[in-house]
Amino acid sequence: MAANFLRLDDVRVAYASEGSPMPAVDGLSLRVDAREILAIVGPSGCGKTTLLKAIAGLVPLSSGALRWGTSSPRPATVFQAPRLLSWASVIDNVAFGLEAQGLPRREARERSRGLLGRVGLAEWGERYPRELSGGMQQRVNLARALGVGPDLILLDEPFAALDAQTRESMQFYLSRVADQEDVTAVLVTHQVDEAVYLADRVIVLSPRPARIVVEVAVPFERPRPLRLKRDPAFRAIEDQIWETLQEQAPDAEVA
Amino acid sequence: MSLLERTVPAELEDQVDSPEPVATRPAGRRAPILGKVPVVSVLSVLLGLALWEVIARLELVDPLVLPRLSETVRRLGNDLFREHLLRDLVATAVPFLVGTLLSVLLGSAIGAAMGASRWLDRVLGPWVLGLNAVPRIAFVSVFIVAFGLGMTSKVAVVTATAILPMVLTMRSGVRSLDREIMEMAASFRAPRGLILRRIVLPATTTYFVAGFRITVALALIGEVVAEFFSSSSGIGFRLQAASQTYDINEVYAMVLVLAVAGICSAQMVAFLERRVARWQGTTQS
Repeated sequence: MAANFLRLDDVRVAYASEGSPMPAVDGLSLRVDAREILAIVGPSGCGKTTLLKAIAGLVPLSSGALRWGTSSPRPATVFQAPRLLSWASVIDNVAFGLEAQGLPRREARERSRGLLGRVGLAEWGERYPRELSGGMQQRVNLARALGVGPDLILLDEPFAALDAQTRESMQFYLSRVADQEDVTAVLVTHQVDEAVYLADRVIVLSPRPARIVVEVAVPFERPRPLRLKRDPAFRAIEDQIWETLQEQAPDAEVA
Repeated sequence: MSLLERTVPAELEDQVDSPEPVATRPAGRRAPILGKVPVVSVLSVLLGLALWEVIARLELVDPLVLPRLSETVRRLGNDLFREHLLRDLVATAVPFLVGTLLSVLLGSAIGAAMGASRWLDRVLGPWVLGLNAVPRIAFVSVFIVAFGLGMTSKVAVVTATAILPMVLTMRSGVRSLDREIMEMAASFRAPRGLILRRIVLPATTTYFVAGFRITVALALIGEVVAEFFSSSSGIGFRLQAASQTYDINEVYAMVLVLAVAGICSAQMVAFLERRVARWQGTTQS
């Protein structure tokens, strides 16, 4: 069942414009299984985001290859900032993703109305992004990405800018969505507890250029209740990853 | 089948954060065509005109320098009566409008392309700066030789005079596009047409209007200058003919017409700006 959804073979990404000899990602290989949630954690600036953008096709690979298990992968990206169109209504923002798939505007808006209802924003369709709280904007961002029916969701620190309470409700929401559909997800995050709560596997990356330091399997059944975060077994995994992470950033102050 | 077409878990409902509802968009009331004209502006004009009449009547300056306003207005009425004023207005308005349209279309396309492509910006940049430094009068004779004395050469002068503000503002507008938003669009593999309609056009509207305002003003000047050289009708032609025969009343009559035309076109642009500002105000943070 755990078929390969995506394999990264010896992937290297160097930005031409940076003029720095050190590539962001250098010779990284990893696999993403079908229907799993894979979390990637690592010190700041280690190339996590670059890796995600490479998978999304937003930055070109310098060498290496992405080997997809499906003939026509449909990835969608949820960015850290909501990246909403400030001049468009909430519903038009969600519709943008569908319109990009070639859906006519009317149909795209029709579908978006339903999508907004599912993220609890049915009443907010005709409002503008600035009228929404950060958490609500992020749910619009999520609805826009999920609306296009992706088979791979790429999440780049999607909840980092939210307050703790909103973040937990979003984590819970995301875990439910992932369980309900045939979806694979790659999650880049700073928050170790978020990684362990959501993911089936957690990969810890080294400082730049990123390579895999350790891979930790998270054995808990999904869906997971939020109170799992208080479980000693959960805490043990969290501690293990946290300590590995600290070793990767010796200069960082260990609080 | 999309992921979200399933019910939201009930547990989430009370975890959902809700900010205070914000006032909704005001019901779609249109901006008035004429903005409120400030009383002092009206008074200032009336006072200036009155001063003109008084100074001329008291012959404080030579009547050849400043004829009476009443005389000028009488001449204007006479022109109107003899119907050539209307013909002149049309003769001026048509190349002015065509040249303005051309400036807006060509200028915003070139400017947007320069804003989008660093390479194109480098290729066209020196030409734009060069053209900017040359008084457009320099091209009038060239255009007359190339296009003859008709409409085409006048439209060419108007376009050469008025195109640059559109180029420069749209270049800035496209450069100011949010890279994160463009990356978001790329992540959805949005086609170019959709990016243009949903992102580039709405995001650059304020730049467009700013360029348009200057372009309209310059286009009128360009048209009048073109008529100085190559016309047998039009406000600029009358102005030029009257200057050469020292028909001072006619000169002032045409100056009045141009001043009114300038104020009117600026009012129209201001109306457009208010519409945009309204729209931006309700939609931008």
